[in-house]
Amino acid sequence: MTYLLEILLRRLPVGWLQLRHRKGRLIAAIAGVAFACLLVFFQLGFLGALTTAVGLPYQKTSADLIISGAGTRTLQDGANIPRQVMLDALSVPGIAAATPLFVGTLRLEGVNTTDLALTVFGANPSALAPFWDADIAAGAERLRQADTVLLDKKSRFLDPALRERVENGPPLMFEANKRQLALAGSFAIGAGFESDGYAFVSDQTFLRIFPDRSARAPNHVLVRLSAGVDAQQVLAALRAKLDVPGVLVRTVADARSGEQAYQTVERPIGVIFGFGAIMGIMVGLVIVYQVLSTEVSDHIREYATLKAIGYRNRYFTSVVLEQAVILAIGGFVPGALVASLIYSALADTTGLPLGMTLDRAMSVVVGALVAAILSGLFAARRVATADPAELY
Amino acid sequence: MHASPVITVEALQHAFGTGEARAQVLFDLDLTLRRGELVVMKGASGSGKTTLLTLLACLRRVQQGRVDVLGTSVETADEAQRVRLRRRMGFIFQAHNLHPALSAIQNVRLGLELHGGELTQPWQEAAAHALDMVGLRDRHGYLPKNLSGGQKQRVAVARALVGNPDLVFADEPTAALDAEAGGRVLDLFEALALERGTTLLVVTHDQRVIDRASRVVTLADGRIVDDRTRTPQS
Repeated sequence: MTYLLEILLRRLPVGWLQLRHRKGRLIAAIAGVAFACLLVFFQLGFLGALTTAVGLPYQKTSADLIISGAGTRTLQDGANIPRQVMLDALSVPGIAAATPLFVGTLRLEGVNTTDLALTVFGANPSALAPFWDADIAAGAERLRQADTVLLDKKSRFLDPALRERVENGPPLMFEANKRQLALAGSFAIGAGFESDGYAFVSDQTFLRIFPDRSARAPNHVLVRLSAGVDAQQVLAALRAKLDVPGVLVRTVADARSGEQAYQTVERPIGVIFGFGAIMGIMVGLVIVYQVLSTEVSDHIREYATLKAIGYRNRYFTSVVLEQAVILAIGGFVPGALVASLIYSALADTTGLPLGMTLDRAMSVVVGALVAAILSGLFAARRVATADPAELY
Repeated sequence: MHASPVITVEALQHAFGTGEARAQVLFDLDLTLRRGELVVMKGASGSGKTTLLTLLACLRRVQQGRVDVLGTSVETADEAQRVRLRRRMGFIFQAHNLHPALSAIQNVRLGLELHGGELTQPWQEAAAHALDMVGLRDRHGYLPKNLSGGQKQRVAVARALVGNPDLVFADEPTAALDAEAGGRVLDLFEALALERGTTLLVVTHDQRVIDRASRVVTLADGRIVDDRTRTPQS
């Protein structure tokens, strides 16, 4: 390490030698920075999981546009819209197909060790193939049978035995909203922060489970465009056609990014994760500053000696920054390793899409370096107090 | 024939503090140090010798009077010029001030690295040679905490001399040394003065150093009260 730094810096790595000289303090400092990195990884991980989880159901649809109630922020909270808008949409040139989508919450009770709260989509079985991915569309025939449910096999807390049964066994009966329903197939989306997973039923089954809902008032209408048309032109034409209050027309991509922004920026959970990441950075800043500042104070007499013999302030700044970078990298590596392990454990436990990504690792290492360098620059200002005249 | 002057001081005055707390420590000093001189400066505590040393070594700003060091007017020099001057000097402190995290040879290397250049073997070789010259051939890799007081002082001497300075300022450089080690350091000082023309200004009361000095300057109450050139007794 010393030799490597000597080659890299083209001078004695005085900063590293100083840190290494007090091993206990070095270990404590690295542990502190690692903890700060872990905090940031933790918060960014949840923020990333929130963003990813929000996008999962959108990724399963091949619809191009989505019509929702005005004020809709998420797929789950869409106000009901008149079914008539679907018929109006179909008259717009460039639109190939449209289908209503009902959204509700279904509790899966009595068949799993833990009761599950699922977001349930009610869709026309005939429209599954053009509007949803193959694993969902494959269940279309089964959904035609009344009171049949397709279950998200990546749901949180789902018993392996139940998953196996749903995928390969005969239908499994359970009761929800006072109706006997049959689990008779599966697909894969994944758990989110709003629900433990997803379920698909036919629109007819949906209306039986939720008798207060009306076939004339779905939550959303999914729209597919004809091949080769300009999506923005059709979107503009559709907005003009549906120019009535209470209707929101967006591309599916816009709806997804809008919901991701809403969840991460406007809702408390996203704000809390973002604030937690900032707190992690602040903790790192304080730890590195404290360590470097103590280092400078402890060696002020040696620095004064070096000043006397002709070293300039920028040399001492480079020594302090050398220490800052060592602490940042030294703390990042164990922080990232522990974060990866925690991500893995939490992903297994919660079913959330948590995992180390290169982007996140790069963000944290760059953040750690910037924070450490800022701390180093502040700490290096103390070297100015070293007065070589006091040495004699 | 006199050697050329390396330090010229004219009407130098210096004071600490302001107002009622102001205390003048140097009064109208005139002094010229020449190339190759081994000068001992002595005087009672508070006589002003340390203040004079720090002014000549460009460690303090000149308040009043004229100080020329190695051809540069120190009283008008900016910080960068004074740093450049200090790079041509060697410093030996009574408290040695070695870096505790660096080995003996690394401490000596610090006396070389400030001169820049490539990181090549000669730095290491020059540092090793300097340590050998002060009798620490077998202590290159030792940290200061594993060296005796005398050994630390000899490392400090090696650090001061390794860059072949034109001027050396030393404060009691032999105080911690036994007769043999002290003699070896004084041999080095003499050799530097005679062979390289280095000028050494040593603050000391050690008779061993005084005996081998070419000149002894005595200060009292901020004034030079005695300045005599003498023949060294080896």
